[in-house]
Amino acid sequence: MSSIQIILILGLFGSFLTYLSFFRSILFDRFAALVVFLLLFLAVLFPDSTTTVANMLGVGRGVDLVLYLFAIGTLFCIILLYTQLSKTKQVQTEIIRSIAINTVKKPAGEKR
Amino acid sequence: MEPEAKPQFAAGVWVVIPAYNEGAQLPSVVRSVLQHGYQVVVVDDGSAEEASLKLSTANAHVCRHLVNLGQGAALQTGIRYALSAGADYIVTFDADGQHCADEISRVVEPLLDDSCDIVLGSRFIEGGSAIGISTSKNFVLRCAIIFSRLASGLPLTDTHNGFRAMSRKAASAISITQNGMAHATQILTEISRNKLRMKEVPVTITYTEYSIQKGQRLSNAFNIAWESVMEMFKK
Repeated sequence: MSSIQIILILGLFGSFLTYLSFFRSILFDRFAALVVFLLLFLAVLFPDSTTTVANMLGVGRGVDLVLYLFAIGTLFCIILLYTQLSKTKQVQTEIIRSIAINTVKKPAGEKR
Repeated sequence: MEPEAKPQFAAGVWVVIPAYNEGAQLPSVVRSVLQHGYQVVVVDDGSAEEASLKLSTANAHVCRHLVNLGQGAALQTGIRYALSAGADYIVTFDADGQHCADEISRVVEPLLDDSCDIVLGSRFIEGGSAIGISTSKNFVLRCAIIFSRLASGLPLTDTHNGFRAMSRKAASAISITQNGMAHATQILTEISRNKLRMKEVPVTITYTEYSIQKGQRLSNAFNIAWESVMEMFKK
């Protein structure tokens, strides 16, 4: 197994575990965004560096490495969005439930 | 016309009927339940306008979800409302006429002497029946029963049967977060999680053309299993 395979598998597991445990914090998000930004920035300034890193990891071309990481990153984002969405759904359910209970139509003649 | 004598405990029994775009059947279902002296909560799960107008004429408590959330969410809404209104016992009942209101007393009875916390209606236990069930539905249900047994660890003979009764204590303990159809499996896992005392009693399920058309598609079984498995991981 080459290094890139290990990295990709770890990335996959990471995404999955994040989904399962809902482990997130704003600080972590911002830090991750900063790191990704810096890496992309460096990759643009020094395009050949991606190939150097790729070769170290057992990938032939830098483009391929970027593509692999992009795939993992996208998957990760989708999973985060999904967890966020299901949280929103829960909140929405509670709101709609409260409204339904508070605006109940009682049988004629019953007051409370 | 008074039907058979109303059971003494009837006033404390609240029957929760989730309804989504139910048509002709619902008023007669509600009437049949009211006849026995039970309280009825219809949870209108965001039905289209015409259907909800029909509901408002029924002599029942009607909670209306502004948008469609799913049967699990509707049940939880009805249960919470019934609890807030002081229910002693809560029964869940289908809107499509599959269940028989005469059997509500049988389902509630084991709760009365506090010998159990929740009663599940079973169409496959001795004495129960499933009238007009198709072979394919029967097969999928048998598989679902095995799945539910594994998921909940309970010795079940039926599953995804909407006919249940629970004590106030059980209704407060059970929390349905599965808005969709996977709530039926979730109720079972909630029973084992809260260590509630469970009992099955025989009930009659009558499949009519209407109920089959309104009911679950068999292909949805996979979705239900998927949601149930995901729910287990979340904890």
